[in-house]
Amino acid sequence: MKDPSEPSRRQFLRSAIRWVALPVLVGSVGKMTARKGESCVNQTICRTCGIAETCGLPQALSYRDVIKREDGRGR
Amino acid sequence: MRRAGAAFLCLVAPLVAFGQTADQHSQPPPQFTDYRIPIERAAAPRDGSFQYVDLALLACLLVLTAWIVLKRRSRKELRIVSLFALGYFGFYRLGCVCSIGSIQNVAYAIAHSDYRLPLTVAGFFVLPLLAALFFGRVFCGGVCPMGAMQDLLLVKPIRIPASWRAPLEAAPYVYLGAAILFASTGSAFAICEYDPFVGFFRMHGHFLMILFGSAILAVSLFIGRPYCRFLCPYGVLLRWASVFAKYSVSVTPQECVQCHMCADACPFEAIQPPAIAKQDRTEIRRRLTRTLAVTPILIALFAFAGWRMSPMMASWDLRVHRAHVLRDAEMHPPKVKTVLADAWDRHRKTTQDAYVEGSAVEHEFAIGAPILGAWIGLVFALKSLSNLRRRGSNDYEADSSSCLSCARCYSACPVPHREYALPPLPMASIEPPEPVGGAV
Repeated sequence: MKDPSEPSRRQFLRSAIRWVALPVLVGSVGKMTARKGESCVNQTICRTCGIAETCGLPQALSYRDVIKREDGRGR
Repeated sequence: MRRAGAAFLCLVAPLVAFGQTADQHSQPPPQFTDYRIPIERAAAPRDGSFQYVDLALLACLLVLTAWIVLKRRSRKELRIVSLFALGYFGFYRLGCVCSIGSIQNVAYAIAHSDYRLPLTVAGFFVLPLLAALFFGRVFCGGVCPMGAMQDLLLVKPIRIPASWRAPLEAAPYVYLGAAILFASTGSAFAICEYDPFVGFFRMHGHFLMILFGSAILAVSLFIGRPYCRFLCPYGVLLRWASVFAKYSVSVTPQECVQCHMCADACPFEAIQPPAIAKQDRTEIRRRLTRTLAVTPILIALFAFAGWRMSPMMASWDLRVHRAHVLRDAEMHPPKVKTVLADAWDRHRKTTQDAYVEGSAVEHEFAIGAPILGAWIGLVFALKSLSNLRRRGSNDYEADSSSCLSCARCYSACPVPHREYALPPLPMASIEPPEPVGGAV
């Protein structure tokens, strides 16, 4: 006779998927976080970014270059 | 009265944002001064330890919400948490970084190996999903500021017919697929650009987006959380995760008296009624076979449509647009140099560079758009299969994937709850059954 405290097949599968999903999710996102290099914190939108003045990413360098030229033209 | 007050306060924010935006866009800036249109307000990136403060607060609020929803079973306490989250993550942090938008950063990081995912974004993406894996959609219930804003406004919920609900519920899947495609190609962060609530949090935004947000808030007066249910792409991920939740909302921990009151109280139609009769297995099998036969055809059709639409979708990307404009300017040189050509020259880049960049993006869309199409076909096929799901329960139960953990059903349920030690109601039908062979 089946023990009622025993998990059903559906519960077992849910639990298995949960415990597989947990390390996969944390591991994959952790790996992306641990990459070397800089990361944009403002969705690559430099115009409204608070640290665009000091940022070293290529987009920010390009943005500063354009702003400098525009200021030089008196715009 | 209190509800009317809350609704009034929430309607003030759209009006202020709307007023500021309308003022700015109604008149051109004067040409005879050095006046500049003010730059739109955006959340400044958090530096140093403040990032960790935000993450810690998110984690604490998730745990607190789970405790309130599953253990305390209190709607009142949940509303306090929800209001705090609206104030902090919404109006103080200006709606950024948010979990919904973090999908795009993750998609971009998957597609670009040189992009490092910021810690805050990673935390905002993962923590609500982990909470959903264990406690259901507690993020939606108490932590999401957008959900809180809509929930506050709900005055007189009306039910949506099932025939309308099915196609509406497919919309977030389509939005998720499109957002991932545009973010992974680096074309646009569509979820952020078309966020209907961020303009209210910042008291500023694009006129059309404020209008869109106001329309959603107006609908929220009668339909429970329309954005969360019929648009939110992060809700799709939470829905999947909460299917496997270890603990989830159970309307009554004791015997259900099948009074239907919980289902009436739920504005999200997330309470499933008991299975009335055993479903005809032959009929189910026949419908399943039919749907499975149609699924590959649907996927192929939508994938083909996606492939045909890929040039059009790619043309929304600025790099592709720039390549087209520069090519046109080269073939038919204008008398005056265009602003775009001038800007490109100032970057010290050749037209050939623009072509290379544009065609690389077009190539990415030629692969991604059919995949998006196939995804949409699969979603439609699976949506038609969802009606075939067997229900074995004889009680009213909250559907773990669509339950937004709002705790409304608890207060509607007349059965005394052990956890809260409510006084038993004078109803014979809800008396706990006598233990078999108990003392006389």
